[in-house]
Amino acid sequence: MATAETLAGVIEEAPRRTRMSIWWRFRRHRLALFGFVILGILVLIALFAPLLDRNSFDCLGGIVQDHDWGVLGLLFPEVESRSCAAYGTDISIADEGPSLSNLLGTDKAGRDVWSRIVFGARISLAVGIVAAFISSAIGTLIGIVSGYAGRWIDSLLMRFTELIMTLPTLFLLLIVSSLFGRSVVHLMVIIGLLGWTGKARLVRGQVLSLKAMDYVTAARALGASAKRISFVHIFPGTVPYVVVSATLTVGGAILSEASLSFLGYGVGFEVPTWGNIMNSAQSLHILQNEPWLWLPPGLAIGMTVLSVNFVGDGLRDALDPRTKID
Amino acid sequence: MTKYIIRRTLIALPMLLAISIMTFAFINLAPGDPVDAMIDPEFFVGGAGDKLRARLGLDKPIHERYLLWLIEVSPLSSSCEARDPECETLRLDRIPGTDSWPFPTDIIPTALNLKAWPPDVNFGYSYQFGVSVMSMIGDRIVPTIELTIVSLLAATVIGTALGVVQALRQYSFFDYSFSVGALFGLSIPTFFFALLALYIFVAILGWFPSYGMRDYKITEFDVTNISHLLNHAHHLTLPVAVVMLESLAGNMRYMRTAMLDVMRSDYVRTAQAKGLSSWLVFGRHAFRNALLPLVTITTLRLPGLIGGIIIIEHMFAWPGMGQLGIRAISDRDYTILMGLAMITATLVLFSNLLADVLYAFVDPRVRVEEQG
Repeated sequence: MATAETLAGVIEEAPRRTRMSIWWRFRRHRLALFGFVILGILVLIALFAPLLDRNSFDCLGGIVQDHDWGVLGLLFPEVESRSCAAYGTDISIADEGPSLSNLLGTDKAGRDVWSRIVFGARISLAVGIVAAFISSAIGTLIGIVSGYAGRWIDSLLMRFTELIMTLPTLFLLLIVSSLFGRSVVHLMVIIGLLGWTGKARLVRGQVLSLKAMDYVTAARALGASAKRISFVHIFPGTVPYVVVSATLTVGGAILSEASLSFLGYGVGFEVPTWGNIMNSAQSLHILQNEPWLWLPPGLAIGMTVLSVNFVGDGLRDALDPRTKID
Repeated sequence: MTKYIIRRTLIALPMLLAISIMTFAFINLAPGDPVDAMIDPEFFVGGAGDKLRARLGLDKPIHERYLLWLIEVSPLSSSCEARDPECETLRLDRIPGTDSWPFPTDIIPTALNLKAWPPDVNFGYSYQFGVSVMSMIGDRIVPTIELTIVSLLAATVIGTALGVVQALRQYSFFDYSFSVGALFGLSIPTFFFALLALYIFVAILGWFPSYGMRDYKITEFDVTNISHLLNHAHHLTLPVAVVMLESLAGNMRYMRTAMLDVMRSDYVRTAQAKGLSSWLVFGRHAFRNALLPLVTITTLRLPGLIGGIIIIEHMFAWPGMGQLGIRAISDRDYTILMGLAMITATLVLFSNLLADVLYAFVDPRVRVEEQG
């Protein structure tokens, strides 16, 4: 009796222990921890952007432009709050270098670059996270269906995946985003819709190996339906891999958004995103004489994506017990 | 092998068809059309815009336009001019207030001409310039392919070498700093590298030119002329250096892991136990095996590299297909976009095929499986 209770206790405790050891392993990865801290700070900056915005109290003459957050705006009215310094134009202080009132100078419309970078953190992180979520959902679904169903469904879905993989993503993103309006939500969905291929192949491979496991055979012998087996028994086994891949996708999506905005085909120009702020640096004159317009946002993008990649690397090492941590 | 190549080529055809349907749908379902991009809407009084649309065939439903495009592109059909030199090409007067000549695309349905050989692929005419899309792309395909091949080669050679050295000196300062450096390379956007390069090497140091393929004084480029070639290489250096960084970082990371994996395998230990020199062990046994998957990885990376090349061509005014594409997107020049998409897709599919064939040549295990 006592043995059975102890056993039950061990079984109950097992998932908690696994989680603990994942955190323990993650923490030992110093760069991952560093990335985690930086990302935490960035999330705080994004959430409390209006507090960090130096000029938000003075709104005279500021032209506040609308931009469309769609459903997200309805769900979280807070994301639609904007700042006069980041959105409002004031030609009298255009193209000024860093000063006490404008920490990182102003752009050609007199908007404060610091405020725009702070508000840009919201859009970059939101685009990264939502796009990664969309692509993970699609990738997991296609991977599981493809791996579990096998036969013609598998080969059809995999041919389709290869098809999407051969398309030059940036070219397609450029076409789609420039033609279908330039709202933040469109961009998230488009980047998400084009980024699932790697995850579908990853999940499919994982499903194929899990499918051959004894516990799946046992479930099938007990009469579990294909749907139940694939989503209750197989899906949890693929989660760690999807999480790692999704983390790295956040970085990729942030880079895609920045590249599109930099080229002028991303979100509308008035919206402060890191790529948009850098857009004006396409002219050699601004590149040379107004480095505050492109250096800080570029560093912000680099640091964010680098942190995301550190965290992804750390997660991979923490979730995969085969790799050694030194 | 021949059978395999034929089968792969036959699979590529429906893939190209699917790509063309998807791209066509994306481009044409979007709001706005070439007529909107041609001219200020205020010039279109009294339905002039709709008249122009009707002449350009833009008033037809999308599936009909796609079929017309497909028939025109198909090598089995021939263009209007080829069939009948006096065939009527619809031409319009110059649009008031602009210098544009809105030549209609040649999308009048043409009968299938089974005798047309060699196949004559015709992507129609640009809405904006009235010039054949094939000739526009023909002018620009060489600079793009040059940029692609040179940066791929550089990224592979340098990335592989650095990755191998990292693996041989695992946990050294060199290994550690290059690992972090590779993560930087993967995290910093190509355009930011380009801005940094332009700022440091062009604006401050003035070592490199900021745009173009060669000095503007060189009107006739002569391949045999050494000074022309040097001038071209001088212009090529900065774009290639920026484009290759991301692939280089990826190759370096891959090569380090692959080398470490192979070095732990039994046959390398056996080779070491036999007393072979470390040069032979690493050079012949480990390195060659670690190198194999690089062929596949490089082709998987190709679509991403094309993205970088689009940005770099735009920023360095490199007269290639990417620059043409960006221009065509703002002009909503459907025919150019379709032509670019199809040619890029064909090139990517072809290089995938080439990589698989190459793989079979370098890896004898694949060939054994083929026969068995």
